[in-house]
Order: sequence, then C-alpha cells, then structure tokens
Amino acid sequence: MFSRKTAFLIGIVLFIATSFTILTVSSRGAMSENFVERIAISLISPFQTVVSASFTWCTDIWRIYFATVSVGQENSELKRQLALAMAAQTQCREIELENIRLRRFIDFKNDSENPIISAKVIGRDPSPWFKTLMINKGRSDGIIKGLPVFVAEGVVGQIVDVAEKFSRVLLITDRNSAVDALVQRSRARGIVQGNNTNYCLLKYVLRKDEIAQGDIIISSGLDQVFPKGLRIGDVLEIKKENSDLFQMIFIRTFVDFDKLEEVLVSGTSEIFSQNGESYLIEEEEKETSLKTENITSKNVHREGVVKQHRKEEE
Amino acid sequence: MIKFIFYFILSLSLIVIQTSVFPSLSFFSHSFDMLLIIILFLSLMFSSYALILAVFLIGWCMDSLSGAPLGLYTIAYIWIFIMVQVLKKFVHRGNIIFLPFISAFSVMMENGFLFFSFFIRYGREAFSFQELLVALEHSIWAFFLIPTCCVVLYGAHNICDRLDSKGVI
Repeated sequence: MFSRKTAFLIGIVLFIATSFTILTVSSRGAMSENFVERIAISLISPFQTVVSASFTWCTDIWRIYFATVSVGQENSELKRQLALAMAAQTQCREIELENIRLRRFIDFKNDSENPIISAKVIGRDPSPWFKTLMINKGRSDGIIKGLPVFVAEGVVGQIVDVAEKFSRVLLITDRNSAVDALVQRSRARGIVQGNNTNYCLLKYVLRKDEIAQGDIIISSGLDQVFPKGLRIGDVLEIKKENSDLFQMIFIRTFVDFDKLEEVLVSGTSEIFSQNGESYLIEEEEKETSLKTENITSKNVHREGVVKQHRKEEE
Repeated sequence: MIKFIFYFILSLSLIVIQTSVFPSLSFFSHSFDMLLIIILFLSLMFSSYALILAVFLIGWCMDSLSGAPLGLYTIAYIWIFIMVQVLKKFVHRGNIIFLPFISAFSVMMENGFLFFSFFIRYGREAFSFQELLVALEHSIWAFFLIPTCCVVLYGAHNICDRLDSKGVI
C-alpha cells in the first residue's frame, strides 16, 4: 500500500509524536510508579548496596588513616567536649521528662512518639538535574509512599517510590519538592522549595513579615507529611522585589546532602505494625529489658553495699 | 556469548557506578550521563534494530533509578540509537570528526529532552543561565571523553570477538 520511504516517514512521525506525548504526560506527574519500575529497582539496588558499602569502606580507611595523624590532640579535645555534651544531655533528659509530664498533664498527644526506622543510603540520582536518594528499606520494612525522611540535623525529604526492599527519597533540594514551613522566631509561614542546589527557597512569605538573616526555618506540620518543629535550615539572603506581594528568602539547609549515609524514616505505629516486620517493637522490648537488667544489677549492687555497711556497723 | 556477558556487565557497572560512586566524588558529581558511552558504542558497532530492546532496557533501568520523568532516558537513548543508525549510512563510523561531534550532540539531545520536560512542568521559569552552563559543560566533556572511552571499548570488543571465535564459552 505504502512505499518503503513513506512507511519510514510515517514511522518517524509516529515515533516523534509518541515520544513527546509520553514526555509531556510524565513531566506533569500523571504517570505513577508501576510494577516494571519496581522490578528494575529491586534488581539493581542489591548491586548498589554492595558497591556503596565497598566504597564507604574504602573512604573510611582513607579517612581513618588521615585522622590518626592528629589523634592525640583531638582525643583530649573530644574528651572535654564529651564531658560538656554529657552534662548537656543530662539537662536535656531532665527537660524531656518534664515535657512528657506536662504533656500528659494537659492530655496532649505527642507526635514524636511515632516509630522511626533507620535506613542506609545506597545510591543517588544518576542525573545532576534531580535530587533523589535510594535507601535500603522498602515495603517489607513497613515503608509506604509519602513518609517523611530526616536526620538529626533536619529534614531530608519524603518517600516517593517504594519497592520490596528499597525506596526512593525525594530530597527537599529537588525542584519538585515542597515543605510547609515556619520561621521559628517570627512564626511567619511559607513554602520551602528546592532549586537543585544545596540551597532552598522559602516562598510565599508576606512582605510585612519580619525575617532576619540567620533565622531558623522549621517544618510547620501543616502539610501532613513532616512533623512540626523539624529543622530545615537558616536564612541566608532576603530579596524584596518592589512589585511583589511576597518576599523571596534563600535558605541554607542544615543537612549536608552530599555526605548523607544514613537517614531516618518516620511513620505511624499502625503502618509499621501492619506492613513491616515487628523488629521495632522487638528493639523497644530489648531496650526495656536492658534497662530492667541495668536497674536490677544496680539494685543488687546497692543491696550488697548496704549489707556490707551493716556488717561493718555491727 | 562472551560479548553478551561483557556488555551486560559493562552496562550494569556503569549504572551502579553512576548512582553509587560518582555522586560521592566531587569531581564527578556533575559529569554527563555515562550510559551514553555504551549507547553510542552499541549504535556504532551494531546495525541490527533488534538492539533497540537492549537500549530500551538500559533506559528503563535509568528511568527507574532516577527522579526524572518516566520514559525520559528510554526515549533519549532510543532517539540517539536511531539517529546514529541513520547517520552511519552517510558518514563512516570511524571518521575522526564524526565521533566527537555525535557524542557532544547526544548529550545535548538528552539535555534537550530534559529541558523540554522542565518546560512542560514549570514553563519559562525552568531555565536558568546556570543550568544551560551545566548542559554546555556536559557536552564539552562528552566531546573529548566519549570518543576516548569508545576506543578503549573497541579494544575490549575485539578481545571478546577473539575469545568468541576460539569458543571459550
């Protein structure tokens, strides 16, 4: 019916049309994760785990070698810092206990009671245009799409793809990410958006709100993803265009995304107990039993001391 | 058989290295897509359109591991493969100018698809001077590095050929 040349041209036109249609649809986020994608992640992620672990091992050896050069001096300095930190920790513990008592007193549900899973970073996005991470915990560990990911320093991102044993995390520095946030000092609200660098933008903050350089930005909890009060970053620069209703704020994230090795995933106890292995609960039980053992051994020790005193008195 | 194993291991290694090792090294953190080396090499060495399946699989793996819009890598790789097949009819594949230019152009093409997806999602705001500069940097690196890597791969390909003819596996 068609000549070879015409068929070839029709094929090319069809191919171009299909390509751009697929790209347009997927760019708008209309194509969600699917079974085949999960298979690809599950097949390649074990190799990523092995290579990532070997690479970390090599870099650790390199780091340890250089660290030993000034280890004596550093040791005494660290001991001093540890003593200070332990004092501060005791103080924090006291404040935490007081906080728990007060929360119970006013019958307030504590959000930080949510169980937390720790995961290792096994891979990063192959493209410099997107900011995602692969972690070694997946559906079998109770992870589901949308859970918040963070570290001690602050917010990391949220889960966007889940395979059986691996998940993908969208970092807050990715341009597709948005976190509802507050300026800690002035309580001004805005949205933290990534721009594919290690800096983020705090958008939609009203011009009238007072923001100063160095102000700390925290999550507001209103996006129903990140718990309230997680640290995001501090204000680096403020731009107020004359015609704009809002001011543009550049923030420096507290988390160094290039050096992330482990992250924490927070969920609700229902999710982890329904989907995951109950190792979190087991860990809690272990911790409790350890504490009990510790208390028991201390009591035994005390009893021994008391008996010895009595004997001495007699 | 040896050639198949060689290309399979090579693709897998490049995917894993690009996602697990390069991002940790500051020097490579902004390198171009290394999988383009193998895509270009396969396109230059083989003329069978059945190889599109292999190109598709590599693209699909990259799409699954990346936060890019689904299908971006797959489409880019298939386009590059077809483009090289067509150009091979007019220019000799061993031409000293052809390989560097096609390498740089492939990277540009991939980044072009990427910018198209940004444009669809964010409109004109998607483009910044910084990003165009990174894209240009990628192309310059590809202009020099991809041909060099292809020469090394050609040597390895010949060794596999010899082993295959001896019937090692």
